[in-house]
Amino acid sequence: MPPRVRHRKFWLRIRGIPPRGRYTIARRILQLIVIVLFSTQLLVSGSIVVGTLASSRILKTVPMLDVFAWLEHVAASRGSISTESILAVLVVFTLYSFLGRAFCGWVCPMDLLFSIFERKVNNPRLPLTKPHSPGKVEKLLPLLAMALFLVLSMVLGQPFYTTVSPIAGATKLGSMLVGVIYNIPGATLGLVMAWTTITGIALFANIAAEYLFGIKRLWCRFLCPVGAFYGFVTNKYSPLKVKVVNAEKCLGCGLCSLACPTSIELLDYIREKRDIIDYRCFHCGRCVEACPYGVLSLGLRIRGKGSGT
Amino acid sequence: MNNEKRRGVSRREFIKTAIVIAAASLSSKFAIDAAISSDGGRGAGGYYEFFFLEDDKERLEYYDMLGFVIEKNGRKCVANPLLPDKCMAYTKPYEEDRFELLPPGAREDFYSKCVRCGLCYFACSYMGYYAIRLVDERGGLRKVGTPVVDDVMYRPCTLCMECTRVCPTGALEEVPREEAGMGIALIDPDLCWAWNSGDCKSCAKACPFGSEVFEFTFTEWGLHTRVRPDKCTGCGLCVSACPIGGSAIHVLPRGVYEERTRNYKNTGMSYEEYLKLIQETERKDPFKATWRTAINTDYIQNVRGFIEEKLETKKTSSRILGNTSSDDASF
Repeated sequence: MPPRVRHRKFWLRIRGIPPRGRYTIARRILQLIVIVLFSTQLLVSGSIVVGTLASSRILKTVPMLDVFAWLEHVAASRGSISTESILAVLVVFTLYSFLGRAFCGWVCPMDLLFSIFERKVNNPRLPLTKPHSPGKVEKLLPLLAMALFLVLSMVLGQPFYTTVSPIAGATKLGSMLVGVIYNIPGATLGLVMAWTTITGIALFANIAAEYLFGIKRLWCRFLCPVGAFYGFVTNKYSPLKVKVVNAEKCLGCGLCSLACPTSIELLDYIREKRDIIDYRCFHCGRCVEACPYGVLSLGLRIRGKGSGT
Repeated sequence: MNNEKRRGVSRREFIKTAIVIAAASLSSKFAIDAAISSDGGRGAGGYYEFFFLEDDKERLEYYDMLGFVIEKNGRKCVANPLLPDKCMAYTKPYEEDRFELLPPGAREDFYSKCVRCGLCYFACSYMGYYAIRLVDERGGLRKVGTPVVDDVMYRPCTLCMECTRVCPTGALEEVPREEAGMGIALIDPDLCWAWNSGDCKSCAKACPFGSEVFEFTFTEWGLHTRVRPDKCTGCGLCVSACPIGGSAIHVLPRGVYEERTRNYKNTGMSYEEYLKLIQETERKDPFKATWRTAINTDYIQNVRGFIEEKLETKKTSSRILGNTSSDDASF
């Protein structure tokens, strides 16, 4: 029988979605704020943010353009790009140069959806993906997906993934649903259907892989090129990361690795006292919450080497 | 061990089925797209409706007496006085003849530049115009999520150019209002009140550029109005201003405009030649021109109706109906 972890704060004991703690609650609140802001932009929040997660305007001035959407745009238009798109993409790129792959865990509405339908860790019927360090093939798959989407964009002459992206699709779905409910002209049931299809395919694929074959986060780990770009590029040098602060307190129970949605083998990192610099890590802080002894901590560190060394 | 093995196999099978499903869905999508595009939309003559007379005995007798009735595909219709072997053809009402126009500033490479973020739709709706809407999945993989202006009758583009300002990729270039280039307006001279001895100018009054776009010829046969195709931006403000039911002026995308003006109303002559024929007839043969005007006026007033008249009829009829019903109740 594992020792019961007594939290000092009562709100850390909220039941429901697996590991629950301050980071998860903060993430859910931020994700809900993002999706609500995008959904109600034609009713109330239009002065704060306009657009979707593919491209938006903050406070009607700051342009933002998703990095992978920009890459696909460059591939599709064969290099004829405007200066404004470079400016817009630099805003996002600079932001996530500091935050790494935090987009996936803290902003992306698909993470919210995937987490709602997530299987409990202690379900004994089928084993979930075990924590592991990625092999070459596994690392290659998201890169291959990225390359495939870029080539498809070039061949079809249109941004392929961004057209069918469930990330932008979920925000569009939210705003279209609100539009249909409040009878906003231009929001039709056909559009709701279109974005439901796009979001639903990703959600269904992810749930099917998780429940039938025990593959955790199929979409995020293998298919989504947006997260893959942040993982392979900005996660390498971003100051925000999960740090190993008290490696000597670790008992090697492996709770952190079990809680990790993308099955990172954290025990290796703790043993070597390295900070977690993994392309799969999206700084969700579940490992930090799961650890009863405070070995890990989520925070900023410019130098990415290690805690003790 | 056994468990591990079974898991591996099923995972492989899952990936296989996923690939098969993805390939099938993709191919079906392309097949559907190909089927839609090979259909070619409307065939020749699909843009027009004819002045058929079968269900109208009195009018049939009247026009038969005058010798204006001919048969087309076994149906009796009114002949065009200018071209005696052709039926009188009119552009269909706007609801059956609407097109998806690209928003202002869109060029040929619009579909390769657009990232389908929908920012223009949200910006347009936030401004309160609701002119732009997004294409749903009926547009196929190519067009889904791209913006169109497809209902200029009720929500015309006001050329505020907010969409070009918010577009992050330059798919909608920021251009002066005069060069928006969404489409070209086309006036049907057989439906237009000004081409049938009237004096209207409603479209020119609604146009944001007024007489820069519209040309007028003053004759005793009415105020003949034309659109300069090189100046028209295709915003569609004229469409809802037209008093004819179903609008006599329609905004067409560039390709459709060229196709339609090349062989206008399937007469074998271009739009300009058709207008010239009308004007020549008015100069040389006032008798024919009078009959042309009379037939068109009959069609406009009795088949299409004027927008104001329609509204008034609705109001009066409802009031009368209301009165009669209350009378009935009192009896």
